[in-house]
Amino acid sequence: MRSDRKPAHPARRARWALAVIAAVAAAVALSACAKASSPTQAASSAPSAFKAVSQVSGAPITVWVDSTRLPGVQAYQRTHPNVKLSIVTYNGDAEGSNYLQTKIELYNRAGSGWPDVVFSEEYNDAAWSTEPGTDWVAPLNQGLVPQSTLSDFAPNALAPCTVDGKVYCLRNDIGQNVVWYNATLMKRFGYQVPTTWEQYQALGAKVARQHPGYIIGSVGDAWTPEVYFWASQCPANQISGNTVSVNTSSADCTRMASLLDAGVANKSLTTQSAFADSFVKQYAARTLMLIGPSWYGQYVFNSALHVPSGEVAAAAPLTWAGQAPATTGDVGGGIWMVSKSSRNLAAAVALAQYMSTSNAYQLTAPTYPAYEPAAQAWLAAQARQHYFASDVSSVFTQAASEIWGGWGSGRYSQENIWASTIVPQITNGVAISSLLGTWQTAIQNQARSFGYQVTG
Amino acid sequence: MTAPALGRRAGRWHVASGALGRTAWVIVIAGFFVFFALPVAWLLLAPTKTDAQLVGGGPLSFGSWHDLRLAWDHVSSFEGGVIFTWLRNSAVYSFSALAITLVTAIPAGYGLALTEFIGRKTLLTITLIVMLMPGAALVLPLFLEMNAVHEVGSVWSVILPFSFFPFGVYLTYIYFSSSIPKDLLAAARLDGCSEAGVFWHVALPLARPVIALVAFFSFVGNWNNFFLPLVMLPADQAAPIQVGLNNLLASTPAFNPVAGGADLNFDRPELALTTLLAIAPILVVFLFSQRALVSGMLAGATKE
Amino acid sequence: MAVSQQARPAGAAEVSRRPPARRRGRRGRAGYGFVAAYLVLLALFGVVPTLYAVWLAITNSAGQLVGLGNFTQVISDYRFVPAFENIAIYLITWLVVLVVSVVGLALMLHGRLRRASAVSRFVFYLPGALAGAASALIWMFMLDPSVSPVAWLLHDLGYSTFADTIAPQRLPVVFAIMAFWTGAGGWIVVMYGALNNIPGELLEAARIDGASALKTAWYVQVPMLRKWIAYMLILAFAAGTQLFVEPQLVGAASLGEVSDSWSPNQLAYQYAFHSNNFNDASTVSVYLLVLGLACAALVVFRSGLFEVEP
Repeated sequence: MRSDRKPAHPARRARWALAVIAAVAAAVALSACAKASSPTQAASSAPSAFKAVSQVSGAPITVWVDSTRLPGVQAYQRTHPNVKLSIVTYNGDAEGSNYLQTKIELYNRAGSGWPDVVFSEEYNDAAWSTEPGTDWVAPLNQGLVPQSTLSDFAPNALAPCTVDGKVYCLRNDIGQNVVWYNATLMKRFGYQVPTTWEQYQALGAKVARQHPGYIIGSVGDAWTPEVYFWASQCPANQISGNTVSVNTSSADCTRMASLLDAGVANKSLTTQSAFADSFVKQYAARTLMLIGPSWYGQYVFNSALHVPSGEVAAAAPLTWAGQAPATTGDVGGGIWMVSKSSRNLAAAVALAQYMSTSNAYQLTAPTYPAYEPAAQAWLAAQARQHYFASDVSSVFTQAASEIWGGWGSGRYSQENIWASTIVPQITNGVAISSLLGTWQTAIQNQARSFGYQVTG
Repeated sequence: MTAPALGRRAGRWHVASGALGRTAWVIVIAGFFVFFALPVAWLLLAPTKTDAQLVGGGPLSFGSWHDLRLAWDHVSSFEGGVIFTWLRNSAVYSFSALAITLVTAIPAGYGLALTEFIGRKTLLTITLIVMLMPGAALVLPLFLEMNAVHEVGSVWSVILPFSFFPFGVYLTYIYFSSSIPKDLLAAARLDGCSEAGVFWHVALPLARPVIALVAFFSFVGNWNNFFLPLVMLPADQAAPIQVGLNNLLASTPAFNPVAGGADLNFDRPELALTTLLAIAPILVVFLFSQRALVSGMLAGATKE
Repeated sequence: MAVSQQARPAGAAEVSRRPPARRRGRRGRAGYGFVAAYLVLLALFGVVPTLYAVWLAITNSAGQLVGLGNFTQVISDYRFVPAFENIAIYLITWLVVLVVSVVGLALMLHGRLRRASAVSRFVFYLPGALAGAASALIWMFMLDPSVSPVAWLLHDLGYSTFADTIAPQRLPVVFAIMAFWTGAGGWIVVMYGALNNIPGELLEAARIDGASALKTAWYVQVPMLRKWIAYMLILAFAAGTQLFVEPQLVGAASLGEVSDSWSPNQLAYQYAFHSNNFNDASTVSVYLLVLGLACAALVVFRSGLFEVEP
C-alpha cells in the first residue's frame, strides 16, 4: 500500500530536521547568561509595605466563599442592602485543590481581577498569600480592624495570619483537638477517661487485651501529626520568617512515635483514616475514643458513624505526666482575607469582620469560632442541641486556649506529606519510630522546593 | 500478500475455528462489557441509596425510589439550582465551539489531505507538535493572551480556545487521505469544478462519517474540559458543569471532611446523580453521531 | 456535471500528460484557502502559547536567558526522577494494553452481530464520558475492598483496605487500568469507523480464498488501519507521558495518599500553580514534549503518516 516515494526523501528530511534542532539547542545552551530560575528566595520574608489604591466609596465588592459560608454572606447582603456584593461560590480552596493560588497568581500576572474578600478553608493559604512576589492581601492590624477585636481571638488563632507583626487575615474557626470518647461504652467497660498520654497508652493495652476490635484513635488521617505530634510539642514544623527547622529525632517526637507504635501494634490504634468507608464499616460501633478536633463530634460521631445521641462526650487534651501547661494541636480552620487592591476596603473589611466575629453569623456556623466572644455564644447554642452526653463547653474553651504556638503554617502542606509519604508505609506495617527520619527528609525537601531555608 | 497465498494456509483452519471462534468472541466481548459497564452500573444505582447504604449495603443493590426523589430534590435545590445553570453553560460553550471547529477543521483536513501546497507537511508537523505540548505550560500564555484583549471572564475566552481542535484536523486529514479516491476529485476538476466546488459537492457528502466523528469528539472534549474554564472564568455562574462538579467535591463530606458542611444536604448519592446529569448530554450526542458514523462510505465511490 | 462520453477518456489522458508543476500551482493557492481559518486558530491558540512556553523554559523569572540552566536544575529536584520512573512503568503497561485491546476489540466488533456491536460500542464508550471529577466518586468505591462491586477480586488479590489497593508499587498498574477504562472506548469508535472504510470487496476476496477471520484481520484490515494506528500510538504515548487526571483522582478519593507530584505533568502543575514558578513548569513540559515528539517522529517516519497517495 505504500506509495512509491523517493527513498532519500524521509532520510533527507530527517537530517535537515536534526540539523535545525542541533543548531537551536546549541544557541540555547550558549545563551546561558543568567542564573536559572529558582523558587522565590527573597532577602526579606515579609511582603512589601502596604499602600491602598485610591478608594471609591460605595464601590461594589466581590466576595468568594464556599457553599458552607454562602448562606451567611447572603444573610449579610439582606441585612446590609446598601453594600453592593457580588457573591461567587467556589470550592473554598479545599485541601489539595490549589484553586485560589492558581487564580491569584494569574491575576497577579494580569495585573487585575482579584476578588475583594475571600474565604479559604485552608489557613495555610495565608502563607503563600503573604509571600513576597505573590503578596496580594492587605494587613488588617494597621487601622483596618481595631486591635481590641484582634486580641479577642483565641491565642495563636491568628498565628498563621501573622507575618512580621502584621496580621493579614481573620481566622474564621479553629479545630482545637480534644479527647472524644463514647461515655456509654467507657462506662460499660469500666474504663476511666485518661488525662495523660501515659494513661492513654495503658488504656490502649487494656482495650487490646479485654476488648480487641475496639479502638481509641487513628494514625491514618492526613492530620495525624497535628493531632499527636503537635500536642506533644514535636519540633517538626518550626517556621520563622523564611526559615524552616525540622527535628523529628527530638525526645518530644520520639516518645510520641513510640506511643503510637505501641497502639498500632496492639491494634488499639487503627491505621485507617477515620473518614475511610472501611473505618465506618469496621469501627462505627467500636470507637471507644478518638483524639481529634472539636468538629469531630458532629462530623464524625454523628454524621459518619451515626452514634446515637447521649453517648459521645469530650475530655480535656492529654498531657505528658508532669507537663504544664497542657498543649494541644489544631486541625483545620478557615480564614478571611482582604485584597490590598480593593477599591472599597471599608466594605471589604466590614464583611470579613462581620463573618468572623459577629454572633449573628457565627451562631449559625457549624464549627467552633476562633473569636472568643462568638465562641461563647456558639457553645451556648450548641448545648441546646443535646447531642453530647455532657456539656462540652468548658472542654472546648480550655482546649482553645492550649493550642501550642510552636507549630508553624507554611507554604507546603504537612497533611500532604504525612498522607502520601508516611501513611502508605504505616499501612504496610512499618513502625512510625523508624519512619521519623523519612518524615524529616520529606518535610525538608518540600520546604526547600518552596523556597525556604532549611536548618536541622 | 495475494489472496491465493492466504487461502492455501488458511483453508484447514476455517471450518474448525467456527464454533470455537464464536465462543471465544462472546467470552471476550462479554468480559470487556462487564469491565466497562460495571462501574457505570454502580453509578446508575447510587442515587437510589443513601450515603450510609452506599457504604453498608450491597454495591449493586437498588435503594428506593424515595431516596432517588430525595437526591433529586437536593441536587435541584443546591445553591438555588446552580447545577442547571452549569449544564446550560456547558451546552453553550460546547456547541458554539463545535460549530467553529467544524467550519475550520474539516476544510483544513481536506486541504492537508487532498490539495498540495508549499508548507503542507510543515503544517502537519506544527499541528502535531502543538497537540503534544502539555497543557500546564500553555495556561499562562493563553490567559495572558485573553487578558490582553480584555476577554478574561467572557464566554469567548473559553469558546475560541475550544474551537482550536487539532485532533479533529488530523482525524479529517487521515480520513480524507485514506478514503477518498483521487480520481473522483480529478473527474470533478475535469468537469470544471472549482476547488471549492470539488470540496463542497464531492468530498463533503462523502465525509459524513468523519464530520460526525469530529463533531462528537469536539463536543465531548469541550464538555469535559476542566482546566481552561477554571482558569478563564469566574468560579460560579459562568462555570461549566465540569468546574461545577469539582466545586461539588469540596461540598461532599466524603471528599472534604474538614469543611464539608454537615447541613448542606449534599453527599455521594447527590454527587452521583449530578455526575449522571453531567454525562447524559454526551451519551445523547454519541447515539446521534453513531448513526452517521456507521453509515460509512456510500456505494457511490468510484472503484480503483 | 454532464460530460460527453467521448470527452472523458481524452481528458484523462490529458491529465496524466499535464506537467505536475502546473497542477500543483493551480491547487497550491486553493489549499491555503482551505486551511486559512484553521491557521488563525493554530497561530493564536497553538503556536504562540507553545513558543511562549518554550521561551519560559529557557529564561528565568526575571526574564533573563539562562540557556539550559532550568533543564539541569529541574533534574536535580528530588521529585523529578521518581516522577519519570513512575511514568515509564505506567507507559509500558498502558501502551501495550491500549493498542492491542483497541485494535482487537474494534476488529471483533466489526466482524459480526452488528446490533450487539452497536450496543457494545456504546457501553465501551460510556466511561469516556466520565472525565475528571466525574469519575472520582467511582474510583473511590471501585478501589476500596470494603465497598467495591469487585470486592471479591480485590480480596483475591490480597487487598483488604483502600490503602492496600493503592500501595505505591501498585499505582502504575492501577492508573493504567483507569486510563484504559476511560480512554479505550473513544479509540475503539475511531478504529471502528476506520474499518468501515475498508472496501468490502477486499474482505470478500479474502474470505473466498478461505482466510480465517484472524488472518483477514492481520493481513488485510490491520495494514489498512496503518495510519489510524500510528495516530493512536502517537497520541496515546503523549497522553501517557502527560498523565495527570488519574493520580489526581486517586489522590482526592484517598484524601491525599498519592503524592501530588507522582507524574511529571503533576510536577509541572505544582511548579506553575503552587510554587508560582512558570519557568520550571514550562521546562518540565518541554521535557514531556520532546519525549512525545521523539515517539511521534519515529511513528511518522515508519508508518508514512504524512504521505498521501499521489
